[in-house]
Amino acid sequence: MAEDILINVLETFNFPVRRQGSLLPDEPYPDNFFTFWNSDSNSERHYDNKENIYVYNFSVNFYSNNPENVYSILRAAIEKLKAAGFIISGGGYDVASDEATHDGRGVGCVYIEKL
Amino acid sequence: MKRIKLSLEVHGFDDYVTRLDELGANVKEIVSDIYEQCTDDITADTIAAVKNIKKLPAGGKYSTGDTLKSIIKAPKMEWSGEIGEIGVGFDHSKNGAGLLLITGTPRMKPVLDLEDIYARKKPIKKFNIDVTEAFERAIKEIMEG
Repeated sequence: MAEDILINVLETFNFPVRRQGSLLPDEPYPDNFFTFWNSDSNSERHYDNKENIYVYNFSVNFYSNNPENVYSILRAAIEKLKAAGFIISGGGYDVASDEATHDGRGVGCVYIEKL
Repeated sequence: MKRIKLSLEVHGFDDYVTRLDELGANVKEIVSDIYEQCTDDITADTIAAVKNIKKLPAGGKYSTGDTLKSIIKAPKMEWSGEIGEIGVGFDHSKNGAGLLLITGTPRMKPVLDLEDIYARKKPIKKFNIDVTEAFERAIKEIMEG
């Protein structure tokens, strides 16, 4: 399953991996962590009245209290995700953080799962 | 900061433009009119999503002031040569939490109604139909004089 592959790749960095929005209001930010969100999973290429593939759209974000990590870790994550079969274009974009201590950058990822 | 772009490509667009050009029509004027009318629903859906305080973080406390004001209310087509662009959704040059509501934060899930519009792109299918029908009407009106 696409989400499992995504999480497994991100976990190789040994930072927490959380679903976007899952931190509690009073839960402190870890120093470094990933979040992800699956915005869509469409079925494509129907054949013989059956779905043939799923196309998953994810956003992956990395937050850190070290501004350099925000860029370097996300870049490294992009390379690992591409190697695992995710389709990613571009080098990412800034994302908003709830905490002034942390910066964040994110990237959109597409995964095509053949059924 | 990420800018959410909603691609408003329409099937058969090039064919319609060619047909209008062959008929001697003012293509840019017609395309502008069609796109400006057909994006009304996207604007209305965005406003409705931002006003739906039951589905907004903190009951909409941080979403219904500047964020509502930052929504582009009457999108206008702008042309650079032969390329037209129309801005829908949130005006990122203004204050507001529009982008935050779409992407979420580690403590705030994305707002699903806005995700439907800008991530899942649900209005695009209806937009395609509306624009196609508008092109057909415009061509018919020109041919019937």
